[in-house]
Amino acid sequence: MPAGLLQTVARQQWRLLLRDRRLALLGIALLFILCASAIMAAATYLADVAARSAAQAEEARIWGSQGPVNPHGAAHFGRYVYKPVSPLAAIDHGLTPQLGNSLFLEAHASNPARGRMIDGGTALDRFAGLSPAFMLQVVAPLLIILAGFATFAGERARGLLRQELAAGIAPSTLIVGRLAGLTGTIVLLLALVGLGGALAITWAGAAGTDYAALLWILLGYGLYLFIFATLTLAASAAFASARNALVALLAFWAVATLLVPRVAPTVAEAAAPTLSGPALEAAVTREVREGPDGHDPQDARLERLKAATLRRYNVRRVEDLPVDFGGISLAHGEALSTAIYRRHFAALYDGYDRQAGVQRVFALLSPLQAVRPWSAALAGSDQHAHRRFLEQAETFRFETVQRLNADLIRHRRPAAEPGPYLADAGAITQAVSFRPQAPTLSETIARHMLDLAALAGWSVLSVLLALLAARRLRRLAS
Amino acid sequence: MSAFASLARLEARRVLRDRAVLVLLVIFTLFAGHAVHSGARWEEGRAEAVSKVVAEADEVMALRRQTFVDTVARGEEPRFGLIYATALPFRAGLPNAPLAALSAGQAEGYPAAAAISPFVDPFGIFDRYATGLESPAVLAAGRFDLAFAIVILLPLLLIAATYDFWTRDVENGSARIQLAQPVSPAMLVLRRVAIRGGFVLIPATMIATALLALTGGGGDPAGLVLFALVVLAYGGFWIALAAAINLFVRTSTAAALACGTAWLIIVLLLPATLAAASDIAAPRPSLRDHINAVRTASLEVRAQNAPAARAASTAESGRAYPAGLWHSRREIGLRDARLAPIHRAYADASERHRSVAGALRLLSPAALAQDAMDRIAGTDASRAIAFQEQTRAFAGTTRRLAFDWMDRDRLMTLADYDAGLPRFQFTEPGRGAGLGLDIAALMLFAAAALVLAALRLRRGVAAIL
Repeated sequence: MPAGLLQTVARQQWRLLLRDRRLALLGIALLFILCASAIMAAATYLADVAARSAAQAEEARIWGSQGPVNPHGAAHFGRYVYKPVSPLAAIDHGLTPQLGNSLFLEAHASNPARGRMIDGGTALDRFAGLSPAFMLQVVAPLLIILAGFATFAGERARGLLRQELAAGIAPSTLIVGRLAGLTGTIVLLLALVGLGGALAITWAGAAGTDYAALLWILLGYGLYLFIFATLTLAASAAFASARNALVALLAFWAVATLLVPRVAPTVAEAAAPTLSGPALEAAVTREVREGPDGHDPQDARLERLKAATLRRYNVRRVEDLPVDFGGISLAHGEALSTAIYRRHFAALYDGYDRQAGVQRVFALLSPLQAVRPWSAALAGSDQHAHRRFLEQAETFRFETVQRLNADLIRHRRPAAEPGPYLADAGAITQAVSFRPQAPTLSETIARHMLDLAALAGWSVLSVLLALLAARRLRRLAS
Repeated sequence: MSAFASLARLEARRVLRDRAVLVLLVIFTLFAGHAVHSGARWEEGRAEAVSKVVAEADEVMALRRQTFVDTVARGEEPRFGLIYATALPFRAGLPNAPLAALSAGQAEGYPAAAAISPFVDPFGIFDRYATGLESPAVLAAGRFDLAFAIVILLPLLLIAATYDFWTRDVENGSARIQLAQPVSPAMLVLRRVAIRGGFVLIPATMIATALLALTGGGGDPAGLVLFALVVLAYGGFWIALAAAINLFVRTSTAAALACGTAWLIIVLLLPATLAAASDIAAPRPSLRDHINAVRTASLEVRAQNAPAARAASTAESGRAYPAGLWHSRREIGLRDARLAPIHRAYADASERHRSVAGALRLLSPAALAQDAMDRIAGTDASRAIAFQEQTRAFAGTTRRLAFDWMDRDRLMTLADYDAGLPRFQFTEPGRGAGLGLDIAALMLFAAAALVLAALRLRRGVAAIL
């Protein structure tokens, strides 16, 4: 395959693309919406970071300003933690709108996060979700199709294809050259997106690893758009008319970007069902009441704990204990309910992971099913990042509540003193702090290597299809 | 036979011979069947979750009743939560509307149940069920329900059937022969597109309506009729748009490109842009700030009443209910009065966002169709808000009941346990003007597309050849 000839074909493809004013207009519109959505998202992110930071500081002030309070009462008053957002969410908000940003931490219960962006909306909000990622996932492939569907079929109609082949250019050279031209457009688009994205996340206060993650995200989109470019040229070479090529490509685009992404989660949900909120709550409540095996009622557990505590302190009556038995009972109950909650929530999150696995199978039908989780994970806006936040918050909750219970245990109220024991909850829990850590880049890449492999597989397959279609070019030209 | 009738019959024959139309209808039936099945499963799961919540109150009362009986059997006096009306648990659940399988709509963005207790802040009764733990991936993708099949897929099928109904004839020269007949060009073009589009739209509407009726929609015949009307209005808009596009472009390929771009803009980009605009014009209130404001105010009320609370914890009331509960009763009155403006401000800001989004939907045919179907399915925001308002009113009733028992020194007896608790009953709000507005606006959009086509036709037959 002569390199000079390839360059000429690629350059010609570029020239044709640039000459097509409709395409230029659509491309500029795409870039405009991409940039506008990135800037809007970055601005929203910045405002959110400031608001979150202020809200978290205010929450800490509220917690510390309770004054003298019964520690268990304070544990019920609870704390709130507000979820931080990754700067890369400005590029891909992933599942952020569906995951809450406020988590109530209280005694006896692990709560799901509240404050989802989808809460309290209208029919119009069902269409929300304009982001650079959406534009790259759904709109950019369509533009590539529009840019390339008539490449060979159109040339054939104008008689140019016969001339090119008669000039001695091999069909494979033609297709590779055209592909190089189209890929150049994709690289240019991604370079602009990368530049815009880097500016947006710099504005949003990104760290060094965020830029590396952005490059990995762009690599995923590069492969994804390359697949569409190659399939577009393959269809253009394989179909006898531009009209048929367009119809086939539009059908593939609709299936790959609209149907499969909508069907896959539904199928995954049916294949790996998870408990509803009320069902999970009921299961936990039942287990707390009846014991993990269903034959260890709460009252019997309390009696055993009482007997063990009396033995430990070598006394015969609760009143003779040097510690507060109420506090011991609360600490014991908290440990038990926490273990139960953690097990049930782990099962729920594992269920979500299984659903993600089922959805990944659909990457065989649509490359979007591979690029979407890849992009969201690297942007730190996927379910895994959320789970990590929830699990860290849960550890913080447990430590906070148990410190309050430990304080209760140490301060037994003499029977002669009326009223409940009061203390400074802020001082008791001062040593417990919450600093959530996001997953590392290498961990994320390793977890989603299969998605990257799927994109690479699609790329190879599409190139093979394009080369196969190239064989038909001579027949089409004649 | 008139020339019109001949051309109409010719078009009908062409459509019937075109296997693509049959294929499109089969594809639609498959999608609609899957969507209705998926919607019915969602509806069932939701009904189950809501009934589980509602049953919680009965379970708690059954357990308490048993403890009550056991306590009495041991010769002891039942105490605390077993006898105080202030500890009564109540639950409220939002039942599914008959056509819920049509669209999940906004149902998953609003609590479908509430846990009520007489002393609990009536604005906090939904917190426990604020999120349903639905799969976030499913929520992000959106449910594959019938509304999705209609709003997103039906236009694609109608475009596939009509995108080149005229341009193809222009390309192969038969358009000139047709226009040579003694017929009005406008009537010719519009009748042809109506026949071609109608052969997909009318059976699709009948199929979708029949499938919906089979999944329990028979209980709401008016809803079924309204659904069919929405599908026809929305589909009519797309057919009219295809007609206009066919008159503005000269080749099938250009028509396909224009129709595809129109679909992308109307179904995906325009509503998404309007949704973003509504967020900018009337931002949703910050839940974080609201939570902090509520907690600060609650603490202030608690601090003001701390001396009284401490005194009450050791005082004797001399009545059936202890001094601590009488104090709590006073304090919750003060707390609710203090929190009411904070809650109201949050609710007002949420309402402002909803009303801006509601107004902007009028600019998008896809959002209008979605809104109309949500309203028919009873999964729209207004029904969810009605549930919240009715539930808060019910919470007020339970509080008055508890206060009444306190005032009369009445404690729970075994007979009270056997009589059961008052139950929440949801009263269906009317479908209201919103649905009528949706349908009217959809018809206006269709009319606008027809006007566009008519303007092109007024320039003479040369303009459309």
